[in-house]
Amino acid sequence: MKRDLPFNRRNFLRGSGLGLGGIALSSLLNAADQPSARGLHHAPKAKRVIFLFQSGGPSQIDLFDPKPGLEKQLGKNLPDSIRMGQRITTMTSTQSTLPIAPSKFAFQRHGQNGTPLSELLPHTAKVLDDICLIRSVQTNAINHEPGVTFFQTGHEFPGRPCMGSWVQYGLGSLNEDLPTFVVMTSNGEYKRSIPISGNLWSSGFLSSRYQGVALRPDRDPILYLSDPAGAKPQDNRGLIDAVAKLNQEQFNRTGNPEIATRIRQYEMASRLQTSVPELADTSKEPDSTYELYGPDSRKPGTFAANCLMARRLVERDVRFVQLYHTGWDHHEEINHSLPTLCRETDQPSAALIQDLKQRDLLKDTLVIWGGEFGRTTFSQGDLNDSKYGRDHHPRCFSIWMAGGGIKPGHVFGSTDEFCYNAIENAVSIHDVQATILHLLGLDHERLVFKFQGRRYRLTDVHGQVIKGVLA
Amino acid sequence: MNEFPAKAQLSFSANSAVGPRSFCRYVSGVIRLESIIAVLCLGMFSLRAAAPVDFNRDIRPLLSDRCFKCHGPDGGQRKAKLRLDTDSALEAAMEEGIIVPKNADESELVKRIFADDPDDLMPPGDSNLKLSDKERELLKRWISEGANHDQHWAFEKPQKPPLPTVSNTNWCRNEIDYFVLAQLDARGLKPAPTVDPRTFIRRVSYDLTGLPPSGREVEAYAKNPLFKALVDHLLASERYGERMAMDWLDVARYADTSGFLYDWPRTMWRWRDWVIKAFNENLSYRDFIAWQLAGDLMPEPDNDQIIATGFNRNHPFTVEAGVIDEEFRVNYVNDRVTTMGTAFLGLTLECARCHDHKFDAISQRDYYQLFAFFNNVPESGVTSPFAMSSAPAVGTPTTGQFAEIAEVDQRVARLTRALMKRDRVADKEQRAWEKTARISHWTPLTPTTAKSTEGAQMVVQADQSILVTGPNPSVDQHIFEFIFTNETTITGFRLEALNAINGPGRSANGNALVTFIGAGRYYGELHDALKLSRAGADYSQSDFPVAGAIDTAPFTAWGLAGNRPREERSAVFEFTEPQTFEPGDRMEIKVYYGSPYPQHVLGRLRFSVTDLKSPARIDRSGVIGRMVRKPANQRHVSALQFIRYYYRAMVSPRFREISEELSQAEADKAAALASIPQTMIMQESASRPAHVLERGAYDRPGERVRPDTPAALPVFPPAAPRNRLGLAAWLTSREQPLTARVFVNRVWAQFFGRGLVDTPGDFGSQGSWPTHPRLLDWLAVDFMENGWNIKRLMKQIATSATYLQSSTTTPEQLASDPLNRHLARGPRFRLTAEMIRDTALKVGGLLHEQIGGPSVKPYQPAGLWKRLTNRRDYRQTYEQDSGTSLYRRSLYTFWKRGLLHPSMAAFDAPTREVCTVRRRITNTPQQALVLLNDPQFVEAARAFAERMLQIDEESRFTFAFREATARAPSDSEIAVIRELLASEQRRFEKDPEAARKLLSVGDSNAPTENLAQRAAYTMVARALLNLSETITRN
Repeated sequence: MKRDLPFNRRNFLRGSGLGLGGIALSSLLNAADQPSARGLHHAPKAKRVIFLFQSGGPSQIDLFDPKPGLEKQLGKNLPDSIRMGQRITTMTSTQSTLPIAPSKFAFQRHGQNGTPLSELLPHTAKVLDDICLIRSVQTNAINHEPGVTFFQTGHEFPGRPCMGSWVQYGLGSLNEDLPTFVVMTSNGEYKRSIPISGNLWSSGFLSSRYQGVALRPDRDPILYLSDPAGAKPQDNRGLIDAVAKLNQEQFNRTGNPEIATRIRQYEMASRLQTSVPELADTSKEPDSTYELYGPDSRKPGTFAANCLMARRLVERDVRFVQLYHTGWDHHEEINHSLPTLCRETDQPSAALIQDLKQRDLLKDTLVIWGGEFGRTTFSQGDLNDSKYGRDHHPRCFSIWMAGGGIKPGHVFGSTDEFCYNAIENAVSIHDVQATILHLLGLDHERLVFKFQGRRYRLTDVHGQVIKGVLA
Repeated sequence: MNEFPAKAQLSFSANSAVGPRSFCRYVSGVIRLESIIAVLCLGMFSLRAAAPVDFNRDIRPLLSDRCFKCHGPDGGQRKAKLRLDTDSALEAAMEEGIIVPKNADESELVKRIFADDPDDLMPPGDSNLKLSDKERELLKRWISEGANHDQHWAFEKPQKPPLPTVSNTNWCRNEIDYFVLAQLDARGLKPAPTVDPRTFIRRVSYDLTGLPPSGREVEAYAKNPLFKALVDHLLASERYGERMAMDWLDVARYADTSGFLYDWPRTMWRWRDWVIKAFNENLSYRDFIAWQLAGDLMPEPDNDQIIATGFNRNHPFTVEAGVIDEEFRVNYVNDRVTTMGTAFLGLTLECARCHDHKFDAISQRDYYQLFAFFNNVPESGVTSPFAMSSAPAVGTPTTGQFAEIAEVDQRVARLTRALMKRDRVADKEQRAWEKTARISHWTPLTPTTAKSTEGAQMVVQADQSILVTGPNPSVDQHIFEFIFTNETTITGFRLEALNAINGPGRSANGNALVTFIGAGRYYGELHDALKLSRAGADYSQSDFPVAGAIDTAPFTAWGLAGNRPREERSAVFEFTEPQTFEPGDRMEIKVYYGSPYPQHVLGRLRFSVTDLKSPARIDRSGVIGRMVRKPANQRHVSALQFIRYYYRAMVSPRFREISEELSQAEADKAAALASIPQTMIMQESASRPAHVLERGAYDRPGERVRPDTPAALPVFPPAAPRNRLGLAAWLTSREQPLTARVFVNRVWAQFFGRGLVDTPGDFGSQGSWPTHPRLLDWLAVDFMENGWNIKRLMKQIATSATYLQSSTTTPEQLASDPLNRHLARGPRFRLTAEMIRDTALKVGGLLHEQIGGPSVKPYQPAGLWKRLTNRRDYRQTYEQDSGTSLYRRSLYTFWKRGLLHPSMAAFDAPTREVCTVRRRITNTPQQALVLLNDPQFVEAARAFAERMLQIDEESRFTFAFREATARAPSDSEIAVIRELLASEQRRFEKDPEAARKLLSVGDSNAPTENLAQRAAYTMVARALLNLSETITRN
């Protein structure tokens, strides 16, 4: 894949009067951008991460956390003893009652431990023995913007680096021919989904080299990858070579080490022009792959296609792959919308686990599935109207993790009989973040960046590794 | 420290006395500073053995960074009751034997930092903080030398130091150079030779205007290098204001969208244009601050002063449903405090939001006292979806719009007079018409469904009205659906706001504000928005005319009653063209109530439709019918006028021509009014009590506080008002140690790539020690003494010998001072994102130099915005501009916080969600891809090639190099270019289709002749635009 350009790094070093010193100085100039904590704090269990973010807040009570006893409470007001004065959004805080709405979906037992799972997730059921279900996650936020931002950056308001940026900053790249932190988004059929903001893969106060690179279902999977006049990379070879020669001459004249770095960036850009189209071209995937990921996987830009792409990315040692799928925000008609969302996500998510496993990648790839919060046990809107939905719920929700260093086939944490509060092994978002970093070989208290005089962390000043989910 | 000018307000006194106490400090300061010869290298201490330890330079940063977390200003976290951050605390530590001056080994501090036992060791292991051996030795030496200590330097009032003695006064062009040379002398360094004139004109043009000089300008200057005249010329250019604005827009977090998930467009460009104007007119920095912080509080403020206050409204705001209003409102106030800290004071005030500051003497109480200054804006935390601004906001017509509105007003008046002129025949015809006039034009409709998105209940009444009951949310959206049973053609609909319980509105005072009303139709599943062209109402509040309910402008609305509740109102909304509905077709009407006033939602509504021509123009919702029903002799004089007006304008064929002209004039007026840009501003409402918020939580108010400034900084001017106006006076008083230092430091960075203090946003104890402390103070005091004159400061720096040095480096220089902290050579750094694109546009001859106006949308890869959401109504599409808008300077490029223009983002432009005082410069493969493949750069190359082709063949390359790099090419460079040209020419001759495609990139006209040659030159131009040298200023 790597080809020698007339002015590759080795030639360049020979040709320049500065030799190695020039390169060293060039990195020195960028010292402020270099991680203070680059490298591992301890032996990692995972080398790569795939985060399947389910934006909007999937309903834990309908999917992962069955409450069979709740039928008896149908329509009754949520007891004050359970709510304990906790705040709820202004979408339901004005409702005169908060009527309990037991799930309308059936749960069956699956896996070696007979873990109950919703009928809406038949494919996830097949990989239950590979994943660790956490039912006791809590968050601080009650609205999407603060909730998603909190999960991604450890802080509810925008401006801080996201998880992928932190990981890239801490660990660097495994494959210099591709971006280290890649983001893909998908919108399903549900037409009331909340938007995804590009800030969610921003590097905040870290250098912009750590921001996520969006991979798109487009002729240019990465922006500006190809020539707008349709020229092939080899057609522009003369141009690239001329730029390299002229840059080299200017370097010899001025000794500006940034020029040396720039020459290297042009070489890397050339490599991207080969490696990215090769990555994005899924035409050689066998039919069995598409069968595994489901029919949507043939449609570029869908969640299923993105899951397949995520596998191709980690195969190529891309460090952090972040997916966003929108549409889980079911304030109304939840019983109609939830099956749609599950159809879009269940099979590809499970397929990804199976696919990674069969390629022996699951052992050192960490996969996370979850949204920014859960949904209320009571209905939003009139329970007697089939159009009712569920509001945002921060006090307990379910996510799952699988792969490198995670205890497989395990259920962690539990919630009360109303599915309202986490009562056993409650974990915070900062705990989840600390755990992710831990599995990657990073100590969340030592992965710091000093900005404006303060040492910032992904986990702010909180977070503990969740020992109970570790293999 | 306490002498304040008696007439504080916004003036400052250049003569403010230096008291005996400060004088002593001044003298000792000089002695202390004279001793500094050691220089920091790479942030590490490389002290010469002979140099005594300096507390503020060497020790405070160490104590701050490693010890203050537990032994600093934050009382809540303090361990062992020990603090090390103030003079008196250090004295106390000495009394307790923690520090024993001149006896390091007896000092507990030394024992603890050298302890072998992990239980005794400081800093403790679990803090993840460590002292290196060097640092430990340094602390030990400090104590051995007597453990001198001092206040934090940046909190001391700066004094103007005398010029130091230097080895070569001939080198010095102004005072700056004495300070720089003195430090070079002390290190045995020599300044670099003077930069060659061509490099200089390019350097200073970028620094002062953000644009490169043309090749012709370069050569003219090289022949006659009068550098002071050049600097004057550039400072007088309008491009200067744009250049200065680029940096300030980062500081002020200016953007064209409102941030957060929905990230809807906003209009704030009137504020941005004011910034450009303020710099071009050289408004003093003192006024620049005062207007932005408190323009609205000045006596009889003018438009500019009002617009300037948008500075404090530039922060993002949310429109997300369900959000708790107060949580976000508090967040906005926090943003203002943080921004003031970073932008003006160079302090991390935000660190004192949840607890006392860990490093600086800012208590949590101090924080909320500052918070109190910004807490009284009549604003809300949540704004309605689609709002392009959040109240308070004002319409701010541009000069051109003022003229347009005046013109159209006159036209309306003239035509109205012509329409209403005395005409007995017409009056007679009118009386005949009145007898037969239709009484009602309106058919009420009953909705098939009615719902509230916020959970209110809707009950259809016998009179076909809909009563809204149940939950009473602060904002709401009502959605009504009507199914037509017969074929019906309608021209508009009427909304009657009927009395509910307390009046037409559900708020406590019975009023309501309709912020937006929209209609749509369904043909089966297909949905079409029905455009509304005009609205009329029987009554609108003067500040909320009914037209505000159908425009897309920011906070505008139909206000029903003001302070007169219980009055029923009605409004008419007219479609752009008549609509015919088949049986079974559906119409949807949505009514939005998104004003900041809670529960200003209608409580009982009734809808009717009409086929009357132009129903909203005059009919005013059926009032005419009621008027005509009354006998003529009982009609009010205004009713008589109104009926006449109606008859002549709408019925009588005699006046058709005038009526149509008048109708057009009215439409023009409505369009002119609608195009007036809104801009968010500051206002002061009755003061909201401010409290210390425990752990920073909006819902945990503690002790009540009043507006005041931190105790560790100068006292608030006694005569100044306790509001933002007084705060501005405090910031710019001569006693204030930070504001001027922070500003001159940022300006310095504009010329040298780095400030004298390397942490432009942090002058606290975690900040960097200045490389040239005396120069910083001299510049700051000189700036204040000369009326905070920005252009004067710019000229001082731009004409200094320090700035005029060549930036060429030897390997030895690079090795000894890679970051150029000693300033022994000229500054060199990569251009900003804006400058890189502007350079390409200028070199290509495409740049359209127009100042100000709405932000523009140049080329951007398709579909980026769309992928962010598929939600109907919320989906945003990037509609690329055309014509000259494609070629405006990049500071006018639409700044979307949630998805910055990707080529700008690639070159490190910030998203501006928060105040940014320094951009980190990277060097990445994405940048190479942008320069190679962004159509903007390819098109610029194509235009650049055309310019080359107009030059004689033998001087083409010289011309091209001069345009891009301000110098002539070397022979070997010409050889490289010639080779590229020849091979590309061959390639394009073989492949004419490739040439045609290349020459069609971008919107500008594609040539039809000499395609191979043009394409080959375009490749040469692309090579030049990709040079590292082209995007670097040397």
